Amino acid sequence: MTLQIILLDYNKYMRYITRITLFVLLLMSFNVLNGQKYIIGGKYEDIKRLDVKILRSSRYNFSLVESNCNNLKKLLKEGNIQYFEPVAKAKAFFIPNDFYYSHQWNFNMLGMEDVWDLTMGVDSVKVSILDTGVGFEYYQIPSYEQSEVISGDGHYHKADDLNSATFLSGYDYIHNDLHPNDQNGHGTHIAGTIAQSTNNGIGVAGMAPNVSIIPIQVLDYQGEGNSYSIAEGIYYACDQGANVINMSLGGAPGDSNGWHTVHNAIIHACSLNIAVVVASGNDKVGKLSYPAAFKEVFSCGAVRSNQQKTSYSQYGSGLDFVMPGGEDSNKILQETFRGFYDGHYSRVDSFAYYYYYGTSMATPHLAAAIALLKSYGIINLDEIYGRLAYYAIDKGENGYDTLYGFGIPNILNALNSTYSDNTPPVFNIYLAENPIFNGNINVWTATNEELQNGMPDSVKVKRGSEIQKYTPTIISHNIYKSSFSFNTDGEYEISVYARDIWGNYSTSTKLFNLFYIPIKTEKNIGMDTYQFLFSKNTFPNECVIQIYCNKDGFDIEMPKTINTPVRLNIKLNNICLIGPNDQPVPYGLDKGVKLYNIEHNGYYRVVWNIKTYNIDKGIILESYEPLNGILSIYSLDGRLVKSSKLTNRKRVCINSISSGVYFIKLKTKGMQLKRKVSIW
Amino acid sequence: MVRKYIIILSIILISGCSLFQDNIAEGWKAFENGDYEKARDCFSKETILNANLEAYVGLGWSNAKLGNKESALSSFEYVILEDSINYIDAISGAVFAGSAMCMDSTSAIRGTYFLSKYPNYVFEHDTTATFKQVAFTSACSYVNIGDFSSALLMIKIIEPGFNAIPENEQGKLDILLKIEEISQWI
Repeated sequence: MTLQIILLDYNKYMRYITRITLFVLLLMSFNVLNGQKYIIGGKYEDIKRLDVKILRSSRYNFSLVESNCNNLKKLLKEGNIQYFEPVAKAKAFFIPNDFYYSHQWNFNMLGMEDVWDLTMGVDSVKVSILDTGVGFEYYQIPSYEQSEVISGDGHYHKADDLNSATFLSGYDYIHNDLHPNDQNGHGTHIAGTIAQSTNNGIGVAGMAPNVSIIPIQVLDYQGEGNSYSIAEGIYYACDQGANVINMSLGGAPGDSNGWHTVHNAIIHACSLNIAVVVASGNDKVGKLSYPAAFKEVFSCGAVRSNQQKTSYSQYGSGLDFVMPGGEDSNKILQETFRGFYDGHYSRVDSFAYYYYYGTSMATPHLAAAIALLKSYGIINLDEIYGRLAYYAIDKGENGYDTLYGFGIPNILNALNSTYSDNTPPVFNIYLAENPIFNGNINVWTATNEELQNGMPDSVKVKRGSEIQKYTPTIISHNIYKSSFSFNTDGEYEISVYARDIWGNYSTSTKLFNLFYIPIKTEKNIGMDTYQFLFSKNTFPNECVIQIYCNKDGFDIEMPKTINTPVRLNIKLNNICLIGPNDQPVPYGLDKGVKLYNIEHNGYYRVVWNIKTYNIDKGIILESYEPLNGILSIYSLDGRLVKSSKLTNRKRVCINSISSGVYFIKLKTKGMQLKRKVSIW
Repeated sequence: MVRKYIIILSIILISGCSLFQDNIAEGWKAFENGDYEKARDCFSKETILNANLEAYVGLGWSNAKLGNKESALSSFEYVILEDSINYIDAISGAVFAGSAMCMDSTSAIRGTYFLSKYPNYVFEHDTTATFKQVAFTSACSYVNIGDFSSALLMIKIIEPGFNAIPENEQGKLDILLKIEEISQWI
C-alpha cells in the first residue's frame, strides 16, 4: 500500500517536473531566461556590481552585457546605468563579383590626374578604415582565426599593390588583438581605393596613396559585425589621431535602434575635427541606413560611370554626396583576395584585381578626397564640407536634392580654389497661426545656404522684456520649424540666429501681433449708430471680421438680413476698413474717430492702413488709402537714413538700403505711424 | 403601488431627458454667444449626468475656444473612438487641437480623411470653422512633417488656382509664403 502511494506520488511529481522542464525550455527558446545582448552605458566599476552578465567592457564607459530587458529597465530607473540598447547588427555594403577589367573609370570621372599634380596626400594624414580588416601584413594566422580563413602557408599576407602604403597600428575588435588582417576581402578593396600604391608600374592606383592607413577590424570574416565593435573602433581611431574615418557599413534603412553608442562615438570624433565618412546603403530605398543618417557624418551614395545614381544606392534626407560606386559593366576595380569570401571562406594568401560595386566602394572615394584636402592644409571640417558642397558637380534637381545630395565633389576645385564665403546666410521667416487655437504659432525659417550644425543656433521670441529661446528642428533641406504657444496678446519679435558653414553669422527678425478677442460690440449708442470698440490697440497685419447688420444692430457671428444702413465708429488710427468689394470703405472723421457707413452685409476686414513687403535691399510700403506726408527711415540708434515727401501715393518703394533693422516713421495729416522693419 | 412607481420613474426619465436637452441646448446657445465658459459648464454637467457624445463634442469645442488644447483633444478623441460617423464636429475639432498639440502626423492624416468625406464642411455652431480652416491646419501640419506635396493639395482646397512645385526648394518657399498669406485672413 505504502509503495503504491509512493509510486502514485512519483508519477504525479514526474508529470509536474516534465511540464516545468518543457516550460523552461520554451522560455529559453525565446531567450527569456537566457537574456539578450545589450550595450549599457556606464563605468565598468559600477556595472560589475549589477545583476548582469558582462561579456565585454570598453574603457570608453560602455559594456556589452547579457541580461533581459525588464532587468535593465529596472536598473535604468534606479539610476544604476546611464542607458541601454540592444546590440545592432551591421553588415558590409558590398556586392562581390568575379569580373575583371583593366581601367579605373572612377578616377577619370573625379579628374584625379589633375588632382595628383597638386597632392597625392601626406603620411601625417591618417585614414582609419573600419571594416573587415586590411591585407596589410605577413602574419601567422592565430589558432582562434584558423577556422575563418584559408591560407596555404598558414599566414595572412600583405596585398602586393599595397606595398608602398603606410600602415599604422590598428586593432582587431572581432578577435581583440593587434592584427586587424582582412578575413573577407571587402576591407582590402576599400583600402586600395584610398591608398593603393600608385605609379609603381603594377596593378591599379589609389586616390591618396601617400596618406597613412589605420586598419581597424569591426566586421568578421562574413562581413558582419555589431554596433559595439564599431563604437569601439571609432574611439580607437580617435585615440590614434585619425583625421578621417571610413565606414563602408551600416544597418537596416532608417532603423536607428541600437546605434546610440555609435552616435556618441561619432560626435566625439567630430569634436576632434575627424571626418566620419559613411556609406548610405545598398537597399534601394529613400532612407539612409545608420550611421549614415546621423547628421554629423559625411554620408555617401553611389553613381554609375554616366554620373547617374545607381539603382541600389540609398537616398533621402541627410545624403551629402555621391561618388563612383559602379553598376552593371562599370564597377570599381581594386586589389583584394584572389579567393574572396563567397559564402564560405576567403583565401588570404593570394591577391588579384576585382571589380566590386556598392556604396561601400563609393565611400572610400569621399574619404580619400577629404584626406587629400586635409593633406593640402584644408583641415577644418566645416570648411571641407563647404568646399566639397560648393564645388560639387550638381546632379539631379538644381541645388541640393535627396537623390544626389550636393552631387559629385569636384576635388580639384575644392583643393585649388581660394574660395571663402563672406556672405552671411539670408533667412526668410514664415508664420501661421492655428485658426481655432489663438496663440499657437508655427514658425518656419528658410535659409539660402548650409548652416553650421545643420540648423539655426537658436530662435528667440521676445515680448517686451521677456525672451524665450527655442531650438528649431529641420523639416526639409534648409527649412526649419519651431512651434510656439502664447496666451498673452501684444507685439512679438521672432529672431533667428545662425552661422553658415563658413562661420558667417546672421540674424533675422520678424514682428507679429497676437490679437485676442479683437472686438466687442456695443449697441446702444443712438439711433442707427453702432460702435465697435476695439479692446486692444494692437492688430495683426490683417484681421478678418465678419460683420452682419440688421435694424437691431451689429452681430459679428451670425448672418442676418440688413434692413437699415448703420454706422460704424472706429476709435483707432492707422487702420482701414476694407469692404466686401475689397475697396476701402469711405469714412468721416470726428475728433479722431473714423465713422464708417455700413450699407451691405458681407466680410469686412479691419487692416493696417499700411503693409510692408521686403524686397532685395529694400522695402515696399503699400497703403489702401493715398498717403500724403513725410516718410522717414531711422536706424535703431535714431540716425536718419532716408526721408521723402509723399503726395497721393499708395505704393512707395524704398531701396538701396543696407541690411539691418530700421524704424519707419510716417507722418500724415491726422496720423503718425511708427513701425520696426527688417531689411535684407 | 406598482403604478405609483411607474409614474415616479416616468417623471424621473422625462425630467432627465429634459435636463439633457436643456444642458446641450443651453451649452450651444452660450457657445454661439461667445460665452465659452458657460458653454463648458453646461456640457461638462451633461457629460457627468449622461455619457452623451454631443456633450463631449460641445465640451471639446468650448475648451478649444478657451485655449485648453489638451482637454479639447481628449474630448474629441473620446467621441471619435465611440462614434466617428455621427459626430463629425469632433473630427474637425481634433484636427485643430492635434495641430496645436504638435501632433502633426495624426492631424494631417485626419484632416485629409475628413475633407475627403466632408468637402463642404461648416461647423454649425461656429461658421468660422469650415473645411477651409481644416484644410489650412492640415497644410501646416503637412509642412511640419516635411510633406510639401500633401500641403499643396490642402492649399488647393482653399485656393484652387494656386500652384507650386513641392519637390524643389523654390516650390517649398512658395508654399510657405502662401500659407502665411492665407493665415492672415483665414
